[in-house]
Amino acid sequence: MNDNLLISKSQLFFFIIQSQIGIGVLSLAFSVFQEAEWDGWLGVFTGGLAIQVAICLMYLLAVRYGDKMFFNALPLIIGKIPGHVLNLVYTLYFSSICILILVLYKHIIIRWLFPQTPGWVLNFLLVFAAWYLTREKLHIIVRFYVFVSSLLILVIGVLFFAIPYINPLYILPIGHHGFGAVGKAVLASMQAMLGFGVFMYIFPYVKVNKKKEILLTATYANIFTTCLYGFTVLITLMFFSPPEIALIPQPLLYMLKTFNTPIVDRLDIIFMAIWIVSVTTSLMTYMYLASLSTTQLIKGVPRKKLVTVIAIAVYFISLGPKNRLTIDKYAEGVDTFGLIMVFGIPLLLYLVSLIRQRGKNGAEDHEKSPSV
Amino acid sequence: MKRALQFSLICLCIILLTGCWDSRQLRDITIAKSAGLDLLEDGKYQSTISSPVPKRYEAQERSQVVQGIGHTVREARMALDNKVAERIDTSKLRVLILGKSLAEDSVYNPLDIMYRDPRSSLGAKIAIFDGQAADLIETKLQDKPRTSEFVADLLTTAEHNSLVEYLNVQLICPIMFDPGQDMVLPYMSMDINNNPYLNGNALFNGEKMTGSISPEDSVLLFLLKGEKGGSTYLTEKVSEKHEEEEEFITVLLKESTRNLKVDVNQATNEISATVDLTLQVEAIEYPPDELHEREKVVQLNDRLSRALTAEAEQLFTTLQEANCDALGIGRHTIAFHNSFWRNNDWLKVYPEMTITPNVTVEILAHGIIN
Repeated sequence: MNDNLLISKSQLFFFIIQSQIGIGVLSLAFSVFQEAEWDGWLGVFTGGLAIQVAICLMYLLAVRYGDKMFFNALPLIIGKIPGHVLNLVYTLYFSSICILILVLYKHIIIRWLFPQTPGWVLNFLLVFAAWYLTREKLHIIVRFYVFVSSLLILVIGVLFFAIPYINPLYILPIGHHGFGAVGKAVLASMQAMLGFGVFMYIFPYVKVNKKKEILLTATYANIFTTCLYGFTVLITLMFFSPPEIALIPQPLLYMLKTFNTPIVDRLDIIFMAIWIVSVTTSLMTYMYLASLSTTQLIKGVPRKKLVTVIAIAVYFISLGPKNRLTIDKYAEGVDTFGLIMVFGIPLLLYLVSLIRQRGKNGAEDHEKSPSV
Repeated sequence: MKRALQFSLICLCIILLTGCWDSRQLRDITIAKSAGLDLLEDGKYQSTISSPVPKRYEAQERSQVVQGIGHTVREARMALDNKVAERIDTSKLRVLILGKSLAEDSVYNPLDIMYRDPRSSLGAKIAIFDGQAADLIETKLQDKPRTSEFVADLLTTAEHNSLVEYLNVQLICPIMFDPGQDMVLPYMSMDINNNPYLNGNALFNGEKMTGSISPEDSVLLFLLKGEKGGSTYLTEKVSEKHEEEEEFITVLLKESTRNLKVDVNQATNEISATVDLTLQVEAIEYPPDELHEREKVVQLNDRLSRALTAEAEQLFTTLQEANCDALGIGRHTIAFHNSFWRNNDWLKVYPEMTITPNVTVEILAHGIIN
């Protein structure tokens, strides 16, 4: 592969965190609260651990086919036709996430910022920006991600405004709701962190001396995101009393709406302006991945054209859902889909590859072994 | 071909970027700087807003006050809209005044539209007015800034002096919803010359106002809550009954540490709380002098401590009568004695429980004379 197309370790780090941090962070505190009330933050940190396990699994799988793209390797692992079917499923999965991001984005922006602006305009601007960048090669996309990551400092910065008003007693007693509830909160929090899997799909693009460095980078990215999310959720849970947070679907924005600074009257609006960039990067990642998996399905069509097709498709589908209840249902479906695609399928693939590979290795060992 | 495509793209961008459906021109809106809400006797809400009037109209008064009535607060707001030329915009609201009758009924219901509307100003200060809030909004103060500015500044200064808590429309919400705490809001009154002043704090039980305390008690209450403003003064009587002349001392608070302990007696299923408050102060007014003498200072420390402890005891009785758990003792119970909390009805437990205050005062310095 051409060296110029490769990305460095630090670029991979930002690629992962920018893919993870997106639409989920606004309602994370609310969704974990619904499962485990004030113990929700335990779910976020436990979720980080669970994701670490998944990262190791994905690494083991990817390193077996280290020189091939994941979507290229699929037919090799489980056979041609099942491989292509799985490729198609992945395309559908990535596209459905694109749609979910757009639907939620439209919903939140209309609620919070622009009640009069039609949804199709808001979505068009977002899809257009994503399409424009996703047409480019990976190393160009990643440069943009690194560049906008400096905005994360502001995101973390505004959280400090809340610190004088938090009451730590709101999250006591710790562990009150038991393991079951925290377990459900783990699932709820993971839905906001699912982007961690991206490193598996672009594995051969990363320029490293040892493959293990990719695992380390993914781990650092996971630690960063888990801490950022954990910190956000902790602050939010300590800011609102338990009965109030149950009423607020986007607690993070709501909290920022409370504060005035001498220069900026409404912090939530500044925050949202920054947050839109993070949403766009997540959308770009999934649009890119969807086009990447499609190139394996439809051979011979340049990726640039596929991106255009996908962008148009997700744009029009995303204009459909308007009802909050429909959106919730769709989000739930995509989340479950995501858990299967990110945990279930890689585990299955790894097991299959182990069995197949062992047969081969075993035979080779047998040939070499002098004793028999 | 490519040129044409680029050109049409640029045109498209220009059209899209200028299209602002949500622009709000200043000439189309009336900015409400202060608002008052009242509950009328027939159960309807009355909303009063005051908004500054731009200079070009050269009106004599530089603010306009309008009033609307409706079954819900939103309806009252709509009624207001019919009375002003432009649309009313509350996103720059600085002060929200609630009438006493409304506060005694429920604070949350009228505030619902504030919490639900993404544009509302959750950072607005909130205060309870002894009477109809409309009276305060309508007041035209002489030789003072606009009423909205006046009330907002008055509250800010009071926050600095520990007379009221730093609160706004949003910050009261977690407290109002929490079963283990109750809020305390600034309480304003009007004197006979129609000048508004801060008359202490209103005590709440949940979302209903149930009592009030004086400004002197307010300072002590916030110290007992563990909050301290930038400059907090306390004036206490330090002469004993048998002494002929009445002696007072005014101290400036330097440091205050509070320790709240909640104990549950498992055997009797009773709960009690101890509040230890240590105040390190500087004497800023004490005409009898003699503050260089060790015995005198020790005696003053002792007398001040006793006087403040007695006052705190009285204050807790008032709080318990109003069933206002301002210190969040219930929150401590939830956090550290959860089984007791679950098995008891806090609304019944709190008024009956024993709360023991224990104030210790330590005079650190006494200005530049003895």
